[in-house]
Amino acid sequence: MLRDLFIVYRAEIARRIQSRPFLIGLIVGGLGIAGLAKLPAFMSAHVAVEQARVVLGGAPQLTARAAQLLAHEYSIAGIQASPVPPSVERLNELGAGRFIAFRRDRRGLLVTVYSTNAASVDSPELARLLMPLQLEVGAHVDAATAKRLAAFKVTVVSATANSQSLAQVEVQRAIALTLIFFLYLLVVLNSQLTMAGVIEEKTNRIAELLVASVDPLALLYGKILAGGTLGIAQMLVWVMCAIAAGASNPHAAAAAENPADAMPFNLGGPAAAALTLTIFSSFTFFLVVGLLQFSTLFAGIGSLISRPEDLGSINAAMILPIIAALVLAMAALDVPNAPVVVASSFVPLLAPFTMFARIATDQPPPWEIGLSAGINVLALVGIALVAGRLYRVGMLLYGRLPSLRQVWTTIRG
Amino acid sequence: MLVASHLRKEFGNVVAVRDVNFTIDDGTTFGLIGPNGAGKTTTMRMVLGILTPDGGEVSWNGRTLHGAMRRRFGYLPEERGLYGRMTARDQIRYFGRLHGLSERDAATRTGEWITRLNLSEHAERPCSELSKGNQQKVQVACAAVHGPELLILDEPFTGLDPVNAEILLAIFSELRATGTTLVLSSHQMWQLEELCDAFCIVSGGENRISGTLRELRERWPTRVIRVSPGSRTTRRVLEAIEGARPLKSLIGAIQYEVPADTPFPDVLTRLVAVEAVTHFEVVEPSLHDIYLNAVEGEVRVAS
Repeated sequence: MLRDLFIVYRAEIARRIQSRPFLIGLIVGGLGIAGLAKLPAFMSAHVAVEQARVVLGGAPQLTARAAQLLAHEYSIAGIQASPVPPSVERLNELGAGRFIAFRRDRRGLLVTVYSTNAASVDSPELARLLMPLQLEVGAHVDAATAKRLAAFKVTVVSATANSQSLAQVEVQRAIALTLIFFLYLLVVLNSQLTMAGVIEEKTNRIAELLVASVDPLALLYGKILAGGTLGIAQMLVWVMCAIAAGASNPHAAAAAENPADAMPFNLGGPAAAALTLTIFSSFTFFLVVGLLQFSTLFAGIGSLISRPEDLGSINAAMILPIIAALVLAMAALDVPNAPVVVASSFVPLLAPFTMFARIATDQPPPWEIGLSAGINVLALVGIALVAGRLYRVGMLLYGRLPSLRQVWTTIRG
Repeated sequence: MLVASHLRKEFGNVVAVRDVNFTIDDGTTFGLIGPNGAGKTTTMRMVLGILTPDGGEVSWNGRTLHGAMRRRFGYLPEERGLYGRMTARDQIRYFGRLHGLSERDAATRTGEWITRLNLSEHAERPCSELSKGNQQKVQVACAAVHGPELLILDEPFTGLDPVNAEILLAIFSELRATGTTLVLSSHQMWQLEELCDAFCIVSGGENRISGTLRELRERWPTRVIRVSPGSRTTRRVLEAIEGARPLKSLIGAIQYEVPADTPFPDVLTRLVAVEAVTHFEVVEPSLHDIYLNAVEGEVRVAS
């Protein structure tokens, strides 16, 4: 069976790659994701306005001098005597995106920037602006020490993840929304292509010749795996488009909450902080699971259709769960902990969308993510068994659609 | 040897095959005949393992049929189709691979079949651009490219012009000569009569009659005697045969239906004694007559 499955898989990939819907999806998707990569740069322009307003904190003689030095590049929203950063809410109230803390120790001047958008901090430039202050603070030291002091670094720390600025929340939401949209597109496109392939084989009457040559299950699973592979390939092409179009940002890794969680490629701007490896890998996992679940279901149901007039009604009914999943995922972006969202993130067919949306916008407990993944992988096996039974019978079924009772009898075997 | 015994298949409340039995010897050509809806296609699908019988079983060389055996079979279904965008060569090769051929063997045999079926000019064209006849040839190649031990052909001549039908007939004869067991279903009785060694006529999902043409004829109860000239004296001799029944006369000849066990040499002797007989013929029933009789359940006159 594996050999047959592989032969069908190869042939299916060759056939699908040449199909118009696949090519259109690939190009349109590529352009879309390239647009997404450019979006952060576009949004950065808006965020930069906020990032240009800063609050200074520390000893008055230090902050006063720093205010003079930074006045050309920054708008000083406030000065406080303590180097302890205020809350993000307070920064938001002042319309500031950064708090710059000044301390003095035996090494000279210590500057720490607390930013709501850490990726946008140009620390070398800030160091350059503050260099005179550093030298003044360390004027009593010798030239060699002064030279060493001149190479001081600015530490950049992101504002806490749980209290992001409105701008960053917007960026993260935009990223999640876009990925959910692509998840939807990939699932719909590939499921429809799989179903269309099954129906084509029925309507052009090659199905009987095929099932006489090869086990129908090898035929079905070969098709589904080919669809899944092409879905992943489409996504990879889209990612490459994103890399190609993404703005260069040397601080992407530092911008992530945890540098180890930074993406291996760099979208630049606020997206670099929002699109983490965790989000990307969960997107990939739920994309694969969602694709396979829906493709298998569509193929099984598609095998029951032989008349063009039935295609529209069945198609509409089949699309409903995907739309429901999309709507719930949208809701998850706003209220990730709503009971209906949490519940649906364990339900097969819905979970690939809603659990991903929760991961992209919140931090669901790891056990919930694991449970959802487990349930959905098991559900995929169940869907494959049911679709296999339908397909075995459906491929030779012509004429009127079978009744639900007949379908149920077939599923029960 | 393929043995189908007491095959039964139901779809819901419909009994598609009630009780079909036949035995096909290796290397022979077998005609499975019956009217539309008789259960032929369902029977073929059960033989191929596409459908699981609800009753009875199919065995191949003494072993109950299982899924892997279908690799050794070939099938040309009545409802035919091809992948429209795939080229004829790719299509044949694909089916060769599905039937277990290696990549290399599939390519080699595909080339051979393309040459054999005069498809060289069309081999690299998408199948949707081929004529119906050429599409049908591609389908036959798809069914036979792997050199099946048993090839089942459901209405193989439908839609073919006489030239292409002759090409197919020649190919089936070649396959038979190389030991391939053929199972044919067709409504073209004359072609079956020419090709098949044995027949099974099914109707209403069950066997009506089966055997070689000779055996089927032996079971036919009447024969037709055709005599020229159709004079009063020759009529009188024929009417004297017990159970004789006059049939519509032909130009210059008369015809009588008589019992099959009539002593025909005696009849000829009597005719020659009374008239200068120029033509005497005992007409055997054709497959067509036997088929109609078996299906409609009434004795028909040999034509």
